[in-house]
Amino acid sequence: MGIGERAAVDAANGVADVRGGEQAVVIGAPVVGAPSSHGMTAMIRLSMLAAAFALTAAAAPALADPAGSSLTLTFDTAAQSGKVMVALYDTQAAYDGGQPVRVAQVDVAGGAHDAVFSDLPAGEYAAKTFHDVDGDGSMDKNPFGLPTEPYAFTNNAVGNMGPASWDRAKVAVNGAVAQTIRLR
Amino acid sequence: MNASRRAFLMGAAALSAAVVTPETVRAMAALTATADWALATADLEADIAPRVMRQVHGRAPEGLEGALFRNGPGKFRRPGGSATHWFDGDGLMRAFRVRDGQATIEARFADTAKRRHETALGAVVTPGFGTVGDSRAQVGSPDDANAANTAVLPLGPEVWALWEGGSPMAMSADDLATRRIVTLRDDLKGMPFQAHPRVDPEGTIWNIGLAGDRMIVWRLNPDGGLRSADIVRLPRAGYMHDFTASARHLVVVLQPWVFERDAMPFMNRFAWKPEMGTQVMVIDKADLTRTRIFELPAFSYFHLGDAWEDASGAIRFDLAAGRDVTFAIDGARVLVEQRGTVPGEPASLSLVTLHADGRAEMVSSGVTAEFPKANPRMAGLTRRHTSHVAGETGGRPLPTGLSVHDWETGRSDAFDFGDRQIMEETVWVPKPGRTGELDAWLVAPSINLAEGVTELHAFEAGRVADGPVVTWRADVALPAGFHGAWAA
Repeated sequence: MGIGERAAVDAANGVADVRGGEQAVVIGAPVVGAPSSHGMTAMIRLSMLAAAFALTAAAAPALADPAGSSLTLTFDTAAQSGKVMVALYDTQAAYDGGQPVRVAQVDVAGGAHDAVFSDLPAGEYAAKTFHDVDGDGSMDKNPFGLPTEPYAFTNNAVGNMGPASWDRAKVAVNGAVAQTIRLR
Repeated sequence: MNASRRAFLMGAAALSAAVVTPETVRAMAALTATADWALATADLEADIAPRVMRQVHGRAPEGLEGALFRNGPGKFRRPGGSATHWFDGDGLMRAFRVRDGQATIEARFADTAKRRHETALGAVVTPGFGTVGDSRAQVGSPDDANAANTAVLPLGPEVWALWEGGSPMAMSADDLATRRIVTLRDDLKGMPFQAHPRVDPEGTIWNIGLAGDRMIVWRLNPDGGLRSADIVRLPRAGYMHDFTASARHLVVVLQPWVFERDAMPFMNRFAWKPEMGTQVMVIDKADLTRTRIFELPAFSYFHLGDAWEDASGAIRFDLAAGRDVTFAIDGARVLVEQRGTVPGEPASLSLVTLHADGRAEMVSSGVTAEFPKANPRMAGLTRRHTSHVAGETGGRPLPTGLSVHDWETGRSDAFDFGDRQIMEETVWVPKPGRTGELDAWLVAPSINLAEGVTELHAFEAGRVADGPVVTWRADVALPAGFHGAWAA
């Protein structure tokens, strides 16, 4: 893989990490020369994302004030079509290879630009996001496996030859916290 | 400096203290003294606004009008960390404009993500061809590491700065301002676009990009719009800087510097395996699935000349052929260190013939050469003349002159400036209204080491030995460039 190719494939895999209790569908040929764990592309399906929503909603308990913080992510997108997909993680372990604690879709085509995560326990969070510009439910890739749709992380963090690390992307959430994320 | 390097240097100092003699001191002084050619890899600290060059020799030829765009690394070193390889400096786009007998010079850095990040940090941190980088790097995609420093593609109001691992960077032909990263089609965003596009006789622009053993074949209209893009599978995954083309075929040369491991910097991915020989893959332009493979003895290369077909169905092309990749790995590092002897033998101008019956052979002219170029009027057509830089020696692989080689007679028409000049790649400027292969000027800059400035020369392509017909001199030295193109 050339310089940065593995970075983008990893980032895409990271962003595509939204699961709803189903296995992520893995497609595509391994990129020649890349370690196999980084060489597979993952596909997000809207159905999987919807299932994730359902599970999260069903699992959310009615909490008292200890979960009184919120994180609002405003998306600055180049295109005004499709949806922004957001996966929010509350620990490094989850961010690096586990389940998101919350997920969101932002209907950019419908004029929405914000993902609001309310009733969060105070703590550190990081989000992986991508703009599904063509609304096909998946992160589009070029023939060499690199994302052609914009993706970003909280703090607009950029990785070092991979997805942005938890250390670069994490946000301290205590009370109401807001950020603008560029998806251009 | 990391702990192991510090320990090594302290150990070396202790050792040298035990064996210092006057001869050793002189040798060490020679090693640590900055080389006389250091201007070739100096850092430019700011853009150069357009200024008139002073004519210091000869007379500007009638009809020589246009712009020479060139690209090359213009900055390597920052206080917090530096690029350690010639191929990793920040891209500096240069324009030499010739009009009414006057020449101007200007240069502007490509505004890349890499340069913005490293300027803010005051350190080179991005991994590159030979530079390791460090944990402060921000590389989310190949274009975050794009140095935009290798070559140019003039397209009317724009000139594209080409690298090889990412997208072209569009710059204004008028004032060299950076405009945007070029995406030729949305679904091809970020696909690599290498540094040596080939223009066929109809004006179609062909180029390639690599990922492992897969190659994208780009076909662009003369205005730079995308006509087609196709993926072709290669028989091996290796490092390839250039490709060539005849009127009907694309020619891809697969040296035995093959993918071995996923590593950085980039050159560490490859292993030199001469036992594999060098393969040449010929692809039919009209049907990219029709390919033929030819086998040759092992050689290394960076640059190929335009190919041509002859009546027998053979395909020929010339190239600067090397023995191995020592220069690529070590020589290009020493050039940035600016001291000592530069490892790597110079290349030789050689001619490859791919016969219709499947045989292939390569013959060397015996002439030391790099940057082989031909008259663009002859692109893809049968030709006999190739220009190249000359004068490189082992230990000091910096050209001191240029030459035009005639493959029919085997003769060289050469001019040498001596080692007070570093000669750069020359471009052919066909004379307006003329049609012969040698009806052209050869235009090239040099770094005048005695004066400490950049010069621009024009030669008659048919009378190189007479020396430049005109020389203009700047009041500033630009670090050496790699590749350029003329825009009339």
